[in-house]
Amino acid sequence: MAKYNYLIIGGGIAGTTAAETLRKKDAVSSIAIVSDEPHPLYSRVLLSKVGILNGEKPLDSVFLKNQAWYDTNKITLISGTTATGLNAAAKKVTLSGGKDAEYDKLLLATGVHAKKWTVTGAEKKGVLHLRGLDDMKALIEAFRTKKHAILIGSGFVSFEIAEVLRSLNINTTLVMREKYYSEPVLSEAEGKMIEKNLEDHGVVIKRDMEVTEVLGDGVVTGVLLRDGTKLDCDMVLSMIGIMYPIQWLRSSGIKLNTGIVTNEFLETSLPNVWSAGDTTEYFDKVLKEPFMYGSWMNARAQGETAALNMTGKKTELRVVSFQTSNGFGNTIGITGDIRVLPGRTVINRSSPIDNSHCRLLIKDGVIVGATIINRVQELATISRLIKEEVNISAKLGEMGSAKFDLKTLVPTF
Amino acid sequence: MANLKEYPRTKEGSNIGKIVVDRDLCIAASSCIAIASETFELDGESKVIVKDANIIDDDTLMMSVEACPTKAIFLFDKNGTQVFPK
Repeated sequence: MAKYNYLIIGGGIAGTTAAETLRKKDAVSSIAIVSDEPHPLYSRVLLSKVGILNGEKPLDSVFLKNQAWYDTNKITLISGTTATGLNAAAKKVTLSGGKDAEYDKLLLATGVHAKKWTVTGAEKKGVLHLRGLDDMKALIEAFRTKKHAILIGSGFVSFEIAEVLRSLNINTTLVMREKYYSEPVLSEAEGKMIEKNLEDHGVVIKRDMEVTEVLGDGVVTGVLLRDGTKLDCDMVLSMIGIMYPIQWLRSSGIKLNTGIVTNEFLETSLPNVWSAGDTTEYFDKVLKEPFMYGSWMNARAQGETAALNMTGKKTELRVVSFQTSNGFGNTIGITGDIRVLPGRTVINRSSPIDNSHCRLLIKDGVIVGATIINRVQELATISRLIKEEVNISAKLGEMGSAKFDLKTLVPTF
Repeated sequence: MANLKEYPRTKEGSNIGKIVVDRDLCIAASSCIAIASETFELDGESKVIVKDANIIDDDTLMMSVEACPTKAIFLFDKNGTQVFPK
């Protein structure tokens, strides 16, 4: 059985950043990454972007590492392999294909999977989703010949895919359970801005609606909606969200909640086991409560922080998570914790002239999160105010004006 | 050989003295432009260029390069030490 000083489960940005950081700190220890995909590290956030998903640029442009990088850094990439069990007492991970591995220190960086769509007919040819590179290849192939798409879900990936579909002149009907776009991540006003954007570009939106059956004899020819309407289509793009792959860890005794529970050092409840990336439910030192956030930048920060802790350098994870999404020339930005919970004040900063909007969430006089449309220039300032826990109580009355300069709230400015 | 393009930054009070774009790594994801449209734009080859290295504050600049999915933009401090990626 192979034994590694550092074993990393997951070859995405969290796991690979961890391996890279470990190697920088430790030139001699053995490091291995187990990945269930057959690829070296690639940019997941690019998979839904115009330029890539419409087939304009070569597929190779999504790769961030090649095999030579793993070889040069003496990082063993065990690809196409799934971890199926963990025995922390024996310091052993069971792998698919009988290639079990022992470790001194283990990092769980599995990321998330696309949620399985369980509606009748979901197995038919022409029902597609997007999580990994191979999913993207299937989409690009479908986009070459298909003309009528049903797009399901009102997340950011849908928003980006809608632009790709329209740029390829594919008829697009968006079916969403929500009453407005991205409810409740965005406010209703913001969701309506995105909807107008989509509709202006020819996307038909079915709100508060669900597909109850995918029609067709083995191959998709249409969908049936909850209200009995039948829509013709030749592909269905199911972008209904994510699930956390933690089932394989149930028998290990590791503390699980929605994800893998860790402290601010990304240590799990088991000795010598850390967690990083989208499936980590870490103690957020900024919010002072357990938090999960699936974003590229956060996953990379977690990979780095976990690796430092694995080498014995105690390092707190302290990040304000942000992400942006672009579609049809509009940008959505999110930073911090955007849950509208009891006790939180909401301030809307709206400027209809330039079609921009910003919603601030405030708790105990401190900004904890924000959603932003077409005002991303405010993203960094807001993130800093969140991180530094600047008390903005004195300015609450003025902040509702879109003209109020948030930078004046930063103490050092 | 990396295809690097350097942009000096002379903004007063800034800790960042130079922005460097690796044109081979840039794939026009435009994440940096989404956050700092006053600073970055795409040129005719769909590569990011810096149109104004001094216009934005350090926080926004750091955030815009952190957002890059390919880590194509590097920041250096006034002493020439690389500050991102670390």
